[in-house]
Amino acid sequence: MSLESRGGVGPKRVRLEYDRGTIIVRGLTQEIPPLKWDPRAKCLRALAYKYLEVRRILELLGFELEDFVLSPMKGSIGTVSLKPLRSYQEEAVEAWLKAGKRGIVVLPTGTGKTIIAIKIIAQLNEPTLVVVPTLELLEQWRLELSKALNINVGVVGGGSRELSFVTVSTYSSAYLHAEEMGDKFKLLVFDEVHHLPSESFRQIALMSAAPYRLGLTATLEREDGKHVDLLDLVGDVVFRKSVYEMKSKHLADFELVRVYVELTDDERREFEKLYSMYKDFLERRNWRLRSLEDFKRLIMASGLSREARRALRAWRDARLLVLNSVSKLDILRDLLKKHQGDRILIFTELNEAVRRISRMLLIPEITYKTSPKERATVMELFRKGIYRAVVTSRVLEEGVDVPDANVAIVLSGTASRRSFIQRLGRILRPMPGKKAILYEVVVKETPEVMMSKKRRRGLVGS
Amino acid sequence: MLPSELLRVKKKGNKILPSFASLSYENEYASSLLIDVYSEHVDKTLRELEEAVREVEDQLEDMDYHPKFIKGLVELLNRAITTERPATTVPPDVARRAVFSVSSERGFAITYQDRVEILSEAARRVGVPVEDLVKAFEASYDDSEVIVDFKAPEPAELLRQYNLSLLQTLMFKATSMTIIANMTGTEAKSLLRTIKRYGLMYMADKEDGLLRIHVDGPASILTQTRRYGTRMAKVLPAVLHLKTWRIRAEIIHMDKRYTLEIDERYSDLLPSKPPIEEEFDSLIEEEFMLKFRAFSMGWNIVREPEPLVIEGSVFIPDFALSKDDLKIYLEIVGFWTPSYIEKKLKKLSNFKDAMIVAVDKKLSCAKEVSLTLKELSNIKLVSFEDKLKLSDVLPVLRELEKRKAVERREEGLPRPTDEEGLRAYLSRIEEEPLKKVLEILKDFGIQDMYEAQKILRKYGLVIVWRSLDQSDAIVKRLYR
Repeated sequence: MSLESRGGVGPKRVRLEYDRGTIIVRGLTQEIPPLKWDPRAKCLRALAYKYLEVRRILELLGFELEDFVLSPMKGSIGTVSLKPLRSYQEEAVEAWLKAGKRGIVVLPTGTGKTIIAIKIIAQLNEPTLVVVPTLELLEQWRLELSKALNINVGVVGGGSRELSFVTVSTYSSAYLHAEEMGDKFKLLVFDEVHHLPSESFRQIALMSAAPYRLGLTATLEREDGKHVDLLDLVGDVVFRKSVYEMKSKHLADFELVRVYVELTDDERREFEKLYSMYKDFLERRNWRLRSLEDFKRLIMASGLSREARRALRAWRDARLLVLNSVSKLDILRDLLKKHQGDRILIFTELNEAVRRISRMLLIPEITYKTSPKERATVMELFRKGIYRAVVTSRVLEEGVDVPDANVAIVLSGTASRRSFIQRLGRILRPMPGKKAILYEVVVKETPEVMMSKKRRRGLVGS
Repeated sequence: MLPSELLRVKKKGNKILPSFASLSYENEYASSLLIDVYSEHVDKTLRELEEAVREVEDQLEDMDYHPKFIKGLVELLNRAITTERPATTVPPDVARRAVFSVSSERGFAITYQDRVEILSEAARRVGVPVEDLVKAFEASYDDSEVIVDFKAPEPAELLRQYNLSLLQTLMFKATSMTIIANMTGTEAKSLLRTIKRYGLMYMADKEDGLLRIHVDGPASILTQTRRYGTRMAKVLPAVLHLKTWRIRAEIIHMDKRYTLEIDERYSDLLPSKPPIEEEFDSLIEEEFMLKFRAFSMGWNIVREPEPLVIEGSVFIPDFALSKDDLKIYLEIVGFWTPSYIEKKLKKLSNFKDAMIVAVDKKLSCAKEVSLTLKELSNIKLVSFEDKLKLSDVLPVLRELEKRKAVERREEGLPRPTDEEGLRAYLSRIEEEPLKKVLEILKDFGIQDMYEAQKILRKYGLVIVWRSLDQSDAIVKRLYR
């Protein structure tokens, strides 16, 4: 069944099928990259995302194709009701279409990336899967899509498994069901596309035969450098604008205020004790922690020696102490008093700290442990203004619409640049005459000072 | 299965093994200590349990037990409890909504006094006493739940469960797995069914008489992926209860490649599952087997005999029928989907041994099936209606015996149907055990019951059955 054997009898026919995240070609035994011979099933096989490439190559070689790869979800979008796009949003849509219906749009949070995606989905009118990182975003996209496209939107994730012409899924669920979903859509939309290159999530892209792909993000670059793989998985960056290009024109003006507080004497003594336990351990080992990787190494070591375990525990306790310090809570009380009538988001690092603030000050909380139902209630009442503040850990960092929030209080955080910008983005939704304030509460003479500097450097750099 | 941060392994070169907990006195002590804590906390809240567990954890850590080992046991015990929301006079979400709304209106509980006022105002709005409101407010936290049941394991069994979980957790990181085992057809069938049910693929061959099955997933030949590791972990229990087994898995752990090798010598450390019961594909097969056993005619029947390998895939015929050195497989094609039949035919057409294929006439593609199989010389086709009867299959067996007899004659073996000798022998008989008579008849080339009965009758002899067992039967003279 070599290529030559088809002379005289007309074009040779080959059959293309989809098989659980891959495509298989029957009627041909010769390996033609990216197709590989599979002795288990006795056919040629390639990853599903190579679908178009495989088609192109086989056609080029003169084969007649019997193509059974896609079994797209049936249906159509309804009457589109979408407010007119801003000029840069139009530009982004055009750029994506011109790039062959593939590619990534990079825009700051709060600049209407969702609208760009909806416009594209409406224009293509093809079966579409939208992949989002959190359950909040799942619900938010479902609402917006069904309103704008006038259709019943399918949901895969958060306990639901309903496929429809337009479907929204979380990254985790889309990863779990990649095999079943890979042949059912022609357009993939990845919200917060910087999540995609991780070892698991990338399989959503690899195991899908969808030819059209759109990625959206405010912060493309990953600390592990894997964002370069997005070129292969989704396409090139087709449109990009930074925070500073957009500020004041399309975003609310904002102000950064850093508030320094001090530990009480007792706290300070305890902190020094714990922190030096941790430091001494590092010094004895002659380790210097420069990166996340170094820290992971310490965590690994904690599995091996009791000493490392104690050092790590001391570090955690020291952190918790700073986080829960009396003066930090006092500042929070002051800020809450000062901003009577404003809509406030409070961020703190650990779930224990979130729970403590929620119980003590009677402020609704959202953590990863909060049930989907309670989350939805809290968000709805916060939007309506019945709840004036929400305290949260990392859950609300990404893309959730909180249009009326105008004050953010960061009680603690990591040195991560993405997290910081995203928190900032939360309160930057454009509103006429809005002035947003971001407070950062830092405890003096603790590692928090350095962390704060680091994350601001991130902002200035962009 | 455990969260990956609780995984503990031993590495040596490129070899990797889970750090199994031995069934030592020390480990059983830790195990029973924890089980006791859980038993004591039935009817108490999760928060109380968690505090007590933390205490025991610290205690055990001070005794130099590995914290990950202890946490692993705790993880498994957490799955053995059932919890329930505490009963409240007002639904928790109503209480929380009231509290947070009042709190927002009043600018939050900045002082202790604020907090008291907010809670009593919220209680007033909901219409319950403050204590009830606070209880309902707290009830929505999951650690307020009450433990209503705990299925306490034996200390040693908990350790075995821990070891299995540890092995499975390491298997999450596997890119492929090879199972080498001695298994019956039924065991192989159930294992392969499990493999397929999880969307995995396999290639099989034989190694020193053992079946070797290489397992991975559809995309594995294209990209090095741990996607299928979780599913391979779920296949494990189907292997571990076999008598002879060996598993080899390729593992990627912390970006490095390792090989995991483990075999039945570890069985004591792992939970033993009761053997799988004989599972019948269809009623047709079950009925047929019962009938065949009752009227065996000297033929042996084995259901789902040893697995055969055809071009990398395993084939387990429904039955193997054997008598002396004769052996033929029997495969029943009943009601199935067209795609199943297509696959089955593909397998059969590569099959080399003698086989009877029984096809249900009602099968929509019965004709097609028959046409495909007629071309194959090793396959004897029979068709049946509703259920497969003995009379559908016996003629094939008889013919087989005859042919064998002819072969023997051609090979110069003792001449069978020697009429003179046969008459001389049979004339002498008054009463003889059937078994003995049949053995002698066999020498004369009369292989099956049907033929034997015919010839005995001719010489005035009958078979008297005392039970269904052939060895009880005798041959008796009726007339001369």
